[in-house]
Amino acid sequence: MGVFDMGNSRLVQESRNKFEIYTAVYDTLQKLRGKQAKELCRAIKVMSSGETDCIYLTSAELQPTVTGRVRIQHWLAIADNIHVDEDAIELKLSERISLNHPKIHYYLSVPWMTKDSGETGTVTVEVLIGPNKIIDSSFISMVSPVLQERETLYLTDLDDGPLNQLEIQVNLEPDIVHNAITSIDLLNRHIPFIKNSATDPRRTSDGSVSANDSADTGSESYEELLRRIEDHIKIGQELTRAVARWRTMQKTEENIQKAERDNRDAWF
Amino acid sequence: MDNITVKSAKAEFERYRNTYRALSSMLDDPEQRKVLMNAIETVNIGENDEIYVKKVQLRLSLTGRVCMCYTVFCSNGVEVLADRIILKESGEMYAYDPEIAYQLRIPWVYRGSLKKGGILQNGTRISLCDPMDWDFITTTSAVFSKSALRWAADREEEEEQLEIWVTLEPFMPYNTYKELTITSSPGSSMEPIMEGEKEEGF
Repeated sequence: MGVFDMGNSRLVQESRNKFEIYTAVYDTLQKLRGKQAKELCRAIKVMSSGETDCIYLTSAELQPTVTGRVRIQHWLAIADNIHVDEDAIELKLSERISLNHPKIHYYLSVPWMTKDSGETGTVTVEVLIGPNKIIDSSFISMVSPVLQERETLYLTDLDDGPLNQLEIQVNLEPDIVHNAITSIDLLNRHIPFIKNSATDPRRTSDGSVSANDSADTGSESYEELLRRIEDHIKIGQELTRAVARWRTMQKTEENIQKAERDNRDAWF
Repeated sequence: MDNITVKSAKAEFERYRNTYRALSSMLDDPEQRKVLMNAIETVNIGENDEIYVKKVQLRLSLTGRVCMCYTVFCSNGVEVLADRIILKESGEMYAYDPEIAYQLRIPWVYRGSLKKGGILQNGTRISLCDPMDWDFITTTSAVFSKSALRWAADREEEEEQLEIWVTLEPFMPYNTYKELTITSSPGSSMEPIMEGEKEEGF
């Protein structure tokens, strides 16, 4: 995680240059032909573990997408009696990343369960991309693998019967710190938020939310939500009024001091 | 993949880019900004003095995406469990009144104590409005990228804040020009296979 400091045009320009590197590699991948493709394949290693006859990796593909990204698509064959919770699929980056020898290295873990016996397991797909002529180290050091859409496709094979195919997409997303051209504030708290703990029954004495309470915040009713929003607005309005009063007092104080100074100057 | 599917995917992405351009020009006009702000609703739950959502922004990235950016203030006493931040899409989409709706859950603990803490939640709903029309809303998915988590420095208050980016990513069933197979199941050929058509650059 980097430190973000908006408004620095030099850094924005650097970000643009970085994205140029990305688009250059993207363009090369689009024009890729036989021999280059073989070389690229050698630089990419895909390994899988935890496979069974019922769930296994069938293929992995590198794709330049229409939406301008480089993507790796993974296909897993899944037997009819296997259930995969798509929300439980995780992408983990390898911790063994060296700055001198950058690599794209990630693990995709796909937990599964049999529908009848409840037997569980996890298929792990490991992908490692080392620097090569097409995907060079400058590209590698500026992208992050990001898990995108997961979709279980249902394909019918006339010979083998129904076969489920799980499609998992990982984007090699440009990791650019200053990645905003323009923005609009939808919420902006210029003054620190102060929680009105007296009106919140779920607060503990020190103002924190207990773990159990926080778990059910998602089931809060719309009326409760509205009440909380109204509370926020009230506190905000009170603070705005307090700040206005403080500013008026400060202005008055300044005027008095100025008048005193003027009087003093006139006197001496 | 045939030419027709690639062409329709390109047309779909062109619609996304049109919305991006429209938003870009819209942000300069105060009246139009109001329309946009009315169409985007954001609610925070589980805030307290030590951790709260300080800023929510709609941003246009230089990498060509419409993004939502959440700036979360965290005092020194709390630690955000960044690895466990999740985004849940509502999953409900009505044909006549579609919307992009999702919930961002940010778990946190007090430093030095794993028992206490909570989950800061933000709910965001983007309804139909002039630039974000039916086509845009129905073909866009909210995607949270862990790699886009950043610590932001607040110049005025000299504090650090967490920035969370949610990308409104164009979701297209056919989203590739060509495929390079880099591995295949045992028994089949391991030679690379190039499929698809050659296209001009993005």
